[in-house]
Amino acid sequence: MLIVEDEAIVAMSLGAVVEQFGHEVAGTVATGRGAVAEAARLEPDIVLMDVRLADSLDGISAAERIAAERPVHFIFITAYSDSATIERIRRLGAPILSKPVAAEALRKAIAAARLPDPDSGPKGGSA
Amino acid sequence: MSEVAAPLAESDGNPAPARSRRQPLPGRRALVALPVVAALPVVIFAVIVVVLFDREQRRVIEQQLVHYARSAVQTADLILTSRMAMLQSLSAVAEEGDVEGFRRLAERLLERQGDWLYFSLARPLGGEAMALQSRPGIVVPAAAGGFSLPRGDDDEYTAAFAMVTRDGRQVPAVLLRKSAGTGDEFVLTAALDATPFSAALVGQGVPDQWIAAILEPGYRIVGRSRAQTEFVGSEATPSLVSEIAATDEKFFYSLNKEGERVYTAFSTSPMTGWTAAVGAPAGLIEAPLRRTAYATIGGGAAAMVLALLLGGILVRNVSERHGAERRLLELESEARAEQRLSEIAANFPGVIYRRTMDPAGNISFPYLSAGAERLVGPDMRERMRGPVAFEELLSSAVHPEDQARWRESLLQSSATLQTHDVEGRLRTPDGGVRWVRSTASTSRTADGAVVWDGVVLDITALKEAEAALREQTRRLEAINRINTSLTAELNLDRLVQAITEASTQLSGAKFGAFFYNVTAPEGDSYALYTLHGAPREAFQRFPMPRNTAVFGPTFNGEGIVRSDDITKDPRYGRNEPYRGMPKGHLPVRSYLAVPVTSRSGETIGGLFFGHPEPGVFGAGAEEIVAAIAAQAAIAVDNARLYRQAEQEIEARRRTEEHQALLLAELNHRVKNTLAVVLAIAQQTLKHSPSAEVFNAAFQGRLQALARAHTVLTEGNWTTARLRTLIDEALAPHVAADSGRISIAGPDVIVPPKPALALSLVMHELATNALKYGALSSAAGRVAVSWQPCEPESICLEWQEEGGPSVGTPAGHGFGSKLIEINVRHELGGSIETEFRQTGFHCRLVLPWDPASRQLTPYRE
Repeated sequence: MLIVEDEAIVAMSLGAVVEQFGHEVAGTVATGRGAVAEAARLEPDIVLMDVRLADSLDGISAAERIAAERPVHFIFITAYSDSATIERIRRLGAPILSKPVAAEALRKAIAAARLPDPDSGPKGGSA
Repeated sequence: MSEVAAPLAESDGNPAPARSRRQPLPGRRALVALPVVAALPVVIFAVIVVVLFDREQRRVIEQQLVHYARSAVQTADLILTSRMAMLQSLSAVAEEGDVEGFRRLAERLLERQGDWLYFSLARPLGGEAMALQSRPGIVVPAAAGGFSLPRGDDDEYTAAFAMVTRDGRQVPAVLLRKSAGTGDEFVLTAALDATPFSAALVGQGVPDQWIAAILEPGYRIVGRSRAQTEFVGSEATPSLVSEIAATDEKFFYSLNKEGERVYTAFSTSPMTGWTAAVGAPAGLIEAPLRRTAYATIGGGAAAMVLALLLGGILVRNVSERHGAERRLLELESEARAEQRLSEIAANFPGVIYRRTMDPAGNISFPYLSAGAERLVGPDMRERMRGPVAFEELLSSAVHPEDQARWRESLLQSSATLQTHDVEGRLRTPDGGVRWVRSTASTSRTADGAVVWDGVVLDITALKEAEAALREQTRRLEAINRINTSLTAELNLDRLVQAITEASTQLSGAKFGAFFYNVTAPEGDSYALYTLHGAPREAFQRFPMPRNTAVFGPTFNGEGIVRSDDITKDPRYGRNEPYRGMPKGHLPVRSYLAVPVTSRSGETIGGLFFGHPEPGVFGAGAEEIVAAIAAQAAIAVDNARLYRQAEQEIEARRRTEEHQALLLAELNHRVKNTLAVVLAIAQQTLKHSPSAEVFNAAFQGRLQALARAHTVLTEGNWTTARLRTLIDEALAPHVAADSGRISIAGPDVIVPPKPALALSLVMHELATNALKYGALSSAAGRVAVSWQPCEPESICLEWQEEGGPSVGTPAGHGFGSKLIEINVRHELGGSIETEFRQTGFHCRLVLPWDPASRQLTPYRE
């Protein structure tokens, strides 16, 4: 699992929660470009993705680039709630968790992402 | 008009006299009624006199009749009482039983008193009955209707009328009877001749034509002044009987025994009950009254007739005089009307004429009023008297463009005899024309000539007014059309161009310009804004117009300047350097300039028009341009407002977008902050052995974040100063003036997110120093310094000294981890720590942009 989050303390906390749920955190990055690079390198099955990142490449665009390379489940964790951002994420088919995210909500989202995909779709949080 | 019409109506001599002949003047009746009314009181007075006289006559007659009646009844009473007294004496003798004495006395009475006819004594007291009579052959009826007479004792007297037989014939008599004692032991009867009663009436002096009568209580006539034989002994008329039965005395109107109408009065004696009635024939009484009435009424009627005759004579005289006066007035009125018509015709503003055209087509004017001379001149007037050929007159008097219309109208009216009505222009002696309207009624004479009687009215002023009105209408329509288009135009550039073009075209200018006021730094100057009728190059070689004597009034909004030849205007050529138009300037003689002034009073600019010919711009052009300028000012104002409104709307839209972005950013930032706080809480809790430890650590970290937020807010969340961030982060742990902290370094600008991370890092370093390092002892000190180092980096040193000796810790707590991830992830830098003998040392290398002096955690 790759955590893409520009707030370091939040990324660290998310990592702790995910590990507590029994998942392995392959890496943590704060930038969009870093996410694309780390996803290619680490090949995670799930990416916890923030929208605003430390560089100019936002999380949605980074996710699009990552998904273009290989199938990955994205779970977006963001403080944005405007309709345009939500619509962009919806087009990726990924679930959205609002910051600050509750641990239980995160667990369910990860669990849902790990279910077998009947269509073997390459991306989307419904997998 | 009415003042003229009224005298004319009088002067025609028809309506008013006709009315006078048909209807009598009101004064004629009055003249007849006057004598009648004057005589009427006389007549009424006469009638009243007759009535009063009649009443007085009747009252006199009544008094006389009553007087005679009273006298007659008194005479009857006297006769009766005297005879009763005699009878009383005779009765007294009889009652004494002296029969002989009774006889002697009775015989003496019969002998001496000729009216006694008979005495009888029945059932005498102690004696024999006897009867004595004045002469033999007197038969007294056994009984007669009795009546009572007043008596003073128990004796009873009765008197009754009876017819007594004397000498074989019936004579009226009165039977007197006296009885005395109970059961009529004594009865004395006497017969008295009634003749004395009639004789007494005759002696009363009653007029011969009157009738008097005496009636006994049984209403039989005892005596009568006339026709005694016929009526004495008969009963009175029923009307008299009923009146006597009702009252003792009365005057009334009735019929007498002869059937004659009589005025009657009667009087009844209260002593004897006998009545005397006196009647006066009505004809006799009323004769003088009728004569008086006839005389009076006849006199009144005669007076009335006389009055009527006098009235008639008077009326006739007055009518004749009135007729004469009226005829005189008619003649005077006709003379005045004729004079007035002559004056009207002479003063008529047009021409009154009679025109004839003979069968050969020659025209003549038998009558032409004086107005013709004023209109066409004396020569033409004389010429028109004719005869003159139709076409010749037409061509010499009528404007060529109107001759066809005039000819057609005249020929048509001459053919149809309909009204001739035409408008056209006549030539005037001075070579000009006057618009006229000729209207005439048409007739034809027995010799076939056509006659027109009519008027010619000068309608030049009306035509000029119509032309002016059409021109005014055309201008207003043009102005309205232009104003409509100007009002609809909100683009300022297109608007001023449209204003320039429209006003130039409508004013008749060769070219026009709209100069828009612009204040130049060097003073008053004006920018050439729009042009029409001339290329822009024609003006580009010249400087902008200035506030010269010619242009100033327009640019200052003082008013319109219009000149038929501006080169001759005293204001022209007074300003340097050109003193007039510069060489090469478009030629301008006619000049018109109108200021365009806003509703606020601001002079927006000026419309200038020029023409190379003089006298081009008249009042109409000025009026048009002034109207356009007024509307142009409004339109320019509107365009300006529209542009301003557009700018304000755009600014408001950007503001609203910015506000939306800010709200979204705020929402994002709050949520992010909450996520950070939650993460700090979770991690702090995870690494805290107790609640107290968690509480202290968590509060410290939250306060560090809060202070960083405060610093960023003061900088509007754009940047913060590194020095400020470090001061604020260390302030809760050690006083700045304690001498234990030294902070030094150049000005470094920190963006918001690195500022939060750096605040947390400083907080964790200070907390460690306070717990374990230099600040845990009183002598310990901390030095914080930074300098640019390495390529595009800032090296920040944290050096502790004077504290307890420190060694490398066996493990790292959450604080160390927090420092590390913030430095590496949030600040994009690196960290080196060293636990020296002198104290803890930490070195941060942070990406930095020397140009902007700003930390740059992540470079693209």
